[in-house]
Amino acid sequence: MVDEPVFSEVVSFAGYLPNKVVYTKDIAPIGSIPRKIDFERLTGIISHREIDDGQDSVELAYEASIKALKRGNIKAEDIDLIINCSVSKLDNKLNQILEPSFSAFLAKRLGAINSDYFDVGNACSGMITALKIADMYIQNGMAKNVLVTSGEYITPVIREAQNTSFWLNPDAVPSLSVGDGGGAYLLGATSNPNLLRFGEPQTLAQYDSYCIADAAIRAPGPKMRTKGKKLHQAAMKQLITSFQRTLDVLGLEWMEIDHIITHQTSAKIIERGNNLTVDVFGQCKCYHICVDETGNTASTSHAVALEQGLKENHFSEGEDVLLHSYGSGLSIFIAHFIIPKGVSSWS
Amino acid sequence: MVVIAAWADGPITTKNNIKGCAKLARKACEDANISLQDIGIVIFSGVYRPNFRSEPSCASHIQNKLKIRCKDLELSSKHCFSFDIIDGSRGAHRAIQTASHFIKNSETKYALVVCADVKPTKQSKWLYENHALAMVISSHASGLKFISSNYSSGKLTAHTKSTFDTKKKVSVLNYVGDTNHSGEIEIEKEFKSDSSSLGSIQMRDFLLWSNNKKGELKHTIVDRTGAMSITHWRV
Repeated sequence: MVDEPVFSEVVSFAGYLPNKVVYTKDIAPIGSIPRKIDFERLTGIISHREIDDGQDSVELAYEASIKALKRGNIKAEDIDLIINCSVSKLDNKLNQILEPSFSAFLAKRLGAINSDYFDVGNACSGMITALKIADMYIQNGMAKNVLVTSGEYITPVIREAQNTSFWLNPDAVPSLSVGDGGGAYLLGATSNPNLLRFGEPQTLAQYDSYCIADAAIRAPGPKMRTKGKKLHQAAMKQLITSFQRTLDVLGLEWMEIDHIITHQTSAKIIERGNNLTVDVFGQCKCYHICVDETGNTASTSHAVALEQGLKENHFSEGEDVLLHSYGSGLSIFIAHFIIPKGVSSWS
Repeated sequence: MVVIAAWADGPITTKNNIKGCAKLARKACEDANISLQDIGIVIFSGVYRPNFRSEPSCASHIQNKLKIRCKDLELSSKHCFSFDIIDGSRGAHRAIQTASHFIKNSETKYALVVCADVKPTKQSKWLYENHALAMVISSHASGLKFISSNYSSGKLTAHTKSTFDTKKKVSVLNYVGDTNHSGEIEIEKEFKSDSSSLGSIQMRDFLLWSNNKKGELKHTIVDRTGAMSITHWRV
């Protein structure tokens, strides 16, 4: 008897945003940034969310995960593997979780008593990277139900940036664009090879110094320094080729893709990217922007955008979605998946 | 099935950790008789990084230091993919397992796996030695064959986080809980590493032990929390 090949599918997904809304005009009023830059106008980010009291990175991932498990009708004890890709990994005292993995804490919080776990680190491309790794664990028979998740308690970099001089540290300005959020995807096994597929993963490491996050100086928590203009120029330079290669590899037609979600860095950049693609490929059916209300939620940004799309009833069963990620490194990776059955009944 | 085509290890410093990792990686590639440009995947699997760096991946820094396929996208250009895996001391096993998946599922023939840890800040209490291990993983070479791996969870009796030292005004390491999971077992076909060591040392010790062995081998790593990984090998 020959075993049937096994592939993976997205059984469910979820994004989570904490309740507290913080407005860009309050954290970056005109005059607070050199040259009287209007940060809200520059980025198109009007507001973002910040954690509620007692929450931390694990709680953000937990909230998204329980939602995804409920939607996928899977119990925590039935998860075989949890892969976390959070960049921030902060507890509510701004301590960074190092060992064991972040996903070990999440497994405990979820009651995933039978689950294996580990973390993946690839900045804002971490989620697509983790989805690919999960896909390979399923294809190779090492897991059936895999939870890919992230919790980004990343807004402490805003506080750090506010306490620095933007004149002396202009690379701290992009830190004002982030927001907290959680994301989760539940993957399962299928015999259909077309439900979850990937473009070619690429790291253009010549740009590895354009965004760096590490511990703050003389203060608790992290700091982030970004050469924003250079980073986005580098990313934009690759955009068309990156899409073209993916369309070729996956045999897709741009105009037939139902939903396109790029990494949510700033509304203005997404619009600029969309204009570039319109010139080359034509206007796509639907591209999603949620960053105007969420900020850049790092590795969770696609999941948060998917959740926003769900709330607005954008998705129907069987439609396809292209997730385009780029993260510092510079890492570029694209996933393509089919909206699962039952999506219309998800709460 | 993949093999460890070559490996190199040695001390590194916090300041020059990427340079040190790259030097070892270059030596491993020379020993494997491959060009750096043959590498399609770079996986870094350390836990402790300089000043608690969280992004970008250390793997991308190593890729850049080695100048592996660092160029802009063209329609038919070949590229490398770099990312980190974080799984305590088990990271070495996890990275090899993941590299084997990528090699099996892509056109990539060679992966570079680097396991390294350094004291994150000068003021941190550091229980280990700064060390790196670079391995060339390949489907097209002779060497120690990786067969499979399996993993079991720990009880979270211990953990390590960063914490801010208010007197020294710097983030330092904070070790919490019971870490008594040590105990070295060395029998003919099975090697259990010293769990008080970092992943790169545990893996290096196994590679040294496996020299001159034949047949099926087993390597067990137990991390600080009691989580375990068991890998099966063939010589």
